[in-house]
Parts: sequence; structure tokens; C-alpha cells
Amino acid sequence: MSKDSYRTLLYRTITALGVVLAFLLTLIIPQHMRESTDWSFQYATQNFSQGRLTVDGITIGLEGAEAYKYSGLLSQYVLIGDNLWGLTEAPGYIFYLLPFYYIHAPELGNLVLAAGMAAVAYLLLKRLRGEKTACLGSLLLLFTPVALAMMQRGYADSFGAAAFLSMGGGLYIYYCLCSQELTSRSAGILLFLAWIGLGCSVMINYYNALVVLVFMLHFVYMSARSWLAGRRRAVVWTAVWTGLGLAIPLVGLLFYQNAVFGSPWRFGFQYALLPVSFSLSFLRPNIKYVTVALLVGFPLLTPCAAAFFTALYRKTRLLMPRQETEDINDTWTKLRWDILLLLAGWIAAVYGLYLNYEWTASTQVVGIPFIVMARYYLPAELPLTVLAVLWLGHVPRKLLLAVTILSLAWGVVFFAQSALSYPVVLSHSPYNPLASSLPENSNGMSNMLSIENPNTTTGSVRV
Amino acid sequence: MNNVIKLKWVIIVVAFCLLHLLIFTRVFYNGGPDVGGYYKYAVEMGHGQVAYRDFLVEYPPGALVVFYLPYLVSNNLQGYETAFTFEMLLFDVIGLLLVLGLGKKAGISPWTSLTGYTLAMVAIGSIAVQRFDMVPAVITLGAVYAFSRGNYKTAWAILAIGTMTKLFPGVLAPLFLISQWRRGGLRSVIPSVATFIVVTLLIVAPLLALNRAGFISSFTIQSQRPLQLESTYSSLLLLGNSLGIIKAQPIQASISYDIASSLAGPLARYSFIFMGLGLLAVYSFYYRNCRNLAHSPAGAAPVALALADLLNYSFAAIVVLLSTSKVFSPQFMIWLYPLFPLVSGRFRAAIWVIFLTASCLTWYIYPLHYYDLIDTRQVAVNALILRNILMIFMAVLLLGEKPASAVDKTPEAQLELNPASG
Repeated sequence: MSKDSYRTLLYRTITALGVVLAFLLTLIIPQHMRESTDWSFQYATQNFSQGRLTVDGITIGLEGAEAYKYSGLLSQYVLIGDNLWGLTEAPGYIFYLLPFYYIHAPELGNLVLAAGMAAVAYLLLKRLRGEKTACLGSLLLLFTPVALAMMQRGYADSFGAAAFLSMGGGLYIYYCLCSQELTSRSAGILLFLAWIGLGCSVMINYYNALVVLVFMLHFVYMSARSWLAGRRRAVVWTAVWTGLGLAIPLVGLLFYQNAVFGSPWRFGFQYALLPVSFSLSFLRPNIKYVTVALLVGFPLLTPCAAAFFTALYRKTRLLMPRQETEDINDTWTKLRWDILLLLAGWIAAVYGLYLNYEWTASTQVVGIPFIVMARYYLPAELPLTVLAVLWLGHVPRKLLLAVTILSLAWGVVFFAQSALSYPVVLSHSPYNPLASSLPENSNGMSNMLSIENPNTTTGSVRV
Repeated sequence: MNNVIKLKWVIIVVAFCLLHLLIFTRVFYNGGPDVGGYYKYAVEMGHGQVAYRDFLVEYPPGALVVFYLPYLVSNNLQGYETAFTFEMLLFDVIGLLLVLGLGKKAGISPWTSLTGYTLAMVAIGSIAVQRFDMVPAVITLGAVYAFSRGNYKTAWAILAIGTMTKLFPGVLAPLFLISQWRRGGLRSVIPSVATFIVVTLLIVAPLLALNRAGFISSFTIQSQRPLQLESTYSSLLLLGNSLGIIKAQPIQASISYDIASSLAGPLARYSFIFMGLGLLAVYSFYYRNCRNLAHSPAGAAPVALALADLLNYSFAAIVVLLSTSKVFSPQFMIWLYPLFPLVSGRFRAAIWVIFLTASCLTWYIYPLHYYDLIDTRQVAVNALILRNILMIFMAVLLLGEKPASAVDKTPEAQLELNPASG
């Protein structure tokens, strides 16, 4: 075996072992239902599995009472019509989770996505720099505290939204980097998969649409350049693959919205009762409350900032005539402007949006666990890791080693803190016989009264 | 042309001084409970009472001079606070000039020195004018400056004054000793050490004669303190608490908020051992570097590189002291402030990022979220853990730095270090 093959095998083995270790960590540490998202999505999965995209007041009352028994809330279920309750969140993750729910292993849903995300990150970083960087990047991507914590929370949609976005975005950038070397069919399939991933991410989280918009801008710009360069046939084909990839999830979303809200153009957030608006006036309080949570949740945030400014500086210097031949083999100078700006735009779309988020800006979040605030920023994890890891490739070896060890340990410790610092929820089954056995039009009163709160002696619970 | 360049730099330095003046007087909040305490000491001294004998003081004697000087300007609290701010500003400007001078000798560009110094000051925040720690920090820098010029006796005398103002400058003494010993042999060290001892005795002896117990208690009161809330050990206990491994609870003690835990007592006791081991590591690494420099085949190069090593290890010694001490008050970050822009080597960029982040986190913890920390709210606790991990990481990087002799340096980094001029 040649030295190169041996190293390739070594890096891939380390990555695979790292992924397995991340899986084990999320499975070993007991999972608790934390926020209302977890509860709402658990019951939504249960309802969807029985073909009920909406539920009546009695059912939601029963489910709410049951969640309450374990200190849970169903805040994401709201009244959307006459005795009709629906989910305010996008439904994509629930549809994705259903097969795993049917086989009684919902926790596998996120693990499959994590493996896919790590594989795409490996592919992209290998292309950008090499196997060693790819190995490092894939591991650091998974061992981020927020990624581990959200991977463990099987019912919350944050990890799914970030993973689909990362896979779609990662594949798109990979396509941009090597489309010249691929056959037209392979390039088309790659592009189709990339846009499917991006589309699915919007189907899971409406706000990911802003990131997808950044990708669309990039796509339009690159297509226009190709068109003007005379490659018109290729542009038409890429547009067809893109349209197909994007249409499948988005048409699915429109069908769902039509079925649930009565119109394809109405969506869940229009019914939300929680403070989930965005405004520049929330920027200052968000910076005040969220910064430390982000530093804890994403240890690569600082190296990423350093990487972005280094790249910008190096590439700007290269624009000056006297610097033309300098650093020609440097990663930053080889990194294309459009890719750098796409990565930066991706990060800006996520951070720019959520730094203006009403809920994290409100005073109620002071003192709550870091994961509650930092999880919103998970969709920007891939570009953040890519830039940080490319920067780490330039630092002295000792520093690289120290940062890697620190980041991995950081990820494990703060994931454990996040997982263990919540009150323990009593053991319960997501395959709830009470709510699932309800007839469609049952008045439910006797069932409702039969739900007992183990913490009370009276035995009945009001919702 | 030379004069034009000089004039340009004079204007730039004056502009930076004015920027510091603006920040100290318009951006930072002055006053606070500690300055109020300093004022009380000053009033008592102003009424003819003698420190250590007539009233108890928890600070070394040099600090009392710092407290008394603003009182000469104003005897009401508000005026005292303003005067105290200007006193700190004066030392800050002296520090800026010393940083420029030392930076020039160490081959660091004036822009880097000025920018680093100003960034650090902004990151540290208002605490720079709410505590007197700027004074011993700048005195320490003065000692290094004198040492770099070969004025060893002056350097040791200044170091003694610094140590008698706040004890931490004393950690630089072994570095001075090693550097001088490797350069001029054991005999060259004797007059310098004697100077240090004489200056210390000149300050200490009258106070010992006045009230021995009172004076000694000003030192023992610090060494007998329990584990302070923001120390590295405390943050480990708080992390353990958040993971459910151990119970740890902040409590209000006589001087500060401390941590109550079954492990707090043993950790406080053994902290001196950790501190000793940490500092021993710094001194050993420095000794190894000095030995390598002495055996270096180049002629002038070892002398030129000595300052870079001395500055890096002085910074490292203070970082290790802070990371291993059982007390880590927010103002202790000021101790690192004047030396920070003078750190050089492969990891300089990383050290800058880490130090500035750690300083901002310190400011976040105190005063912004101190009560959240006392209530063990997770984000505030994590900010503390992050700050302390960054400090340890910075120490590791500094000690893992290649010796200056192993790094290719430009010849302009020449020094005026004279071998054992005494």
C-alpha cells in the first residue's frame, strides 16, 4: 500500500470512528424532552403517522394534558379553523421522521442525517484542501456542542433543518468546484440532489428560505455568466435540474399548506402566537444575550471570523497588480471569490436573521440554557466549519493540534452539560395509546379525565 | 526627512494619547465601591492616621501611595474619583510610551504596539479606572524596560517597588535572575538582587517597626482567602455542578464571592502547589531558552532575541499565575494589559484573539452578569468556564512557543542589553 493510500484510509477510518463516537454519545446520554418544540413534534409525528395533518380540540386537549403530565407544552399547535388545530412549524421534518417512527426508532432519523452531513462535509473539504482537512472538518462539524445536542433531540427539527441545508449547500458548492470534471449526467444529478436538499431544508424550516435565496442568487449569477460566455445549452440543462430539484419539496409543501390551511399560500407562522417576529430593534438585546451562548455553542466561531478576514485580505491584496504572483499556491487565493462570498452569504443569512429574532431578544431568555438560544444558528454550521478548518490548515501544527483537542473536548463537555442540565422527564412512550385510539369525533370527556398526573393526588389535569 | 518621520510619529502618539483620554473620561464609568474604599484609606491617612497601625489595610504599602495621591487633588469623593481616573490615565500613557519603546527594541512595529495596547484597554473596559491595578502593571513594564536597556539595578529596584504595590510583579524576579545569570554569571546577579532586597526593606522596615502584626496581616489576609468565585478551580467546580457530578454554590464571604463545595477547601490549599508547579514550568522553559541562546552560533543575534523571550515569558508567567491562583478578580486582567502588545512569535495572532476574547468575557461576567453567575445561570457560568479555559489555552500556547533563537528574526531587532553591567 502506498503512503498516500495508507493516509487516505487512515483519515477516512478516523472520520468514521468519530461519527460512530458521536452517535454513541448521543445515544448513551439519556434524552429528555426539553422545549415545547420537542413535545409538539412528538405529537405531530404521532398524528401524522395516523394520517391526521390537523386535529380537533378534543384530541389536542388530550395530547396537551398528556404532555403536561411530563411538564411539556404543545405551543406549536394552534387553532387554525373551526375546532381545527394545526402545526405552526413547517412539516418537512415530521414527514422525514415517519419511516423511523414506524420502525420504533425515531432517534435514528438524526443519526442518518448526521452521517450524510459528515460525508458531504468530507467531500467538500477534500476538494477544497485535502483528506486531512476533510477528516478534521467532518469531526469538528459533528462535535460542536449545538450539533451534538440537537442531534440527540430526536423530535426537534433544528438538526434536520441544518443537515438538509448543509447537504444541499455542500453538494451545490462541490458541484460549482468540479462541474468541469464531471459528465453532464453526473453534474445534473449532483445539482438535482443539491437543490432537493436545499428545498427540503425549507420544507423543514421556513426561515431557511433566506439561505436558499442566497444560493439562488449565486446560481443566477453563474448562469448569466455562462450564458454570456456562449454556453447556453449547459445553462438550460442546469436550470432544468435545478427546477426539478427545487420543485419536488416545494410542491409538497404547497400541497400540505393547501390541505391544512385551505390555501397553498397560507403557512403556519401566520397563526403563531409566540413572539417570533424579526426586527432590527432586537439586534442589540440579541447581541447582549446571545453572544456568549454562541461562543459556547460554536467553538469554531472565532477561527471562522479570523478565516473570513484573512481570506478577504489575501484576496483583496491579490487584486493589486504588484501582488499578482505572490502566494499563488495559498488556499485563500485559490478559493474562488464567488465561493467565498457564497459561504459568507450563507452565514450572514442565518446570523443576520436570528440576531434580529424577537424571542431570543426578550428578557425571558436571560439565564436559560445556552442551547435554547444557540440552536437557531445551527443552519450556518457547515460554512462556519469550512472557513474555520481552512484557516486552521495554515496555523502552526502545534496550534492546530491544540485547537482540535480543545474543540472536541469542548463539544463533548458542553453537549453533556446541555443534555444533563434539564430536569429529568419521567419515562414515557411516544406511541401513546390514549390519544392515538381516539375516534375522530369522540367527545373525549371520560378519556380526558382518566389522564392522571403522577405529581398530583387528585388525578385529573386541566389543559 | 528623518525629522518629518519623527514629527509624524509624535503626532500619531499624541493622537493615541488623546484617544485614551477620551475613552478614560467619556466612555469608561469611573468610581465604584473599590474607589470608595481607596478614598476611605486616603481620608484616614489625610487625618494623620498611620496605615497598618491605626487602621487595617489589605493592600501592600505601595498601593497606599497610589490611593493618597488623588486625595491631594480633591478631598471629596466625587473629585477624588475624577482625580483617581486621571492618575490611572497618567500611568496608562506612561505604559503606552514604554510599550512603544520596548516594541521598537523587540522589532514590533509601532502601529502594532499602539493598536494592541488600545484594543486591550477597550476590551478590559471600565475596570481600568475602577481599580488601581494599572499602576503595578505599568511599574512592571518599567522594570522590563530598564532591564532591556541593561540598567539592571534600576530594573530590580523598580520591580521591588512594583512588588510592594501589588505582589504579582514578583513573579518576574526569577526571569530577571535567569536572564542575568546566563548573561553575566552568578556574580553579576548579586548586586541586582541586593538592590531588590534593600529597596524592599526600605519600604517594609518602617512599617514593620510601627506595627508588625498589622503589616503582616495585610499579606496573610490574601493568602488565607478561600476559593474565589471566578478562579479556574471554581469554574471547574461550577462545570461539575452543571453536569451533576458535584455540588457547588457561590457564597458571599468577607472580601469577595467565593465558592462553597466539598472540594473547595482542598483545592484552595493545593492551589499553591499548582501555582508553584506552573511557575516552575515557565522558569524552566525560560532557562532552557536562555541556554540555547547562549549556545547559539550567531554573534549579535542571541542578544537581540533575548528581549523577545523575556517579554513572552513575563507575559506567560503572569498568565500562569492568574490561571493557577485561587483568586482571579476581574481587575487582574489589567496585569497582562501592558505586556500583551509586546508578545511575539508564531502564535501571536492566536494570543491576540484569545486575550481580547478573554478580556471581553471578563467584562461580560463582571459587571454585566455577575448576579447571573452568583445564581449559577448556565450562560454566565459558561462564560466564566470559557474565559478560564482560554487563559489556560493561552498559557499552553505561550509555553509551546518555539524559542526565539529557533525563529528567524530580522536583524533590526537589536538590543542594548549590556552583559552584566550591574
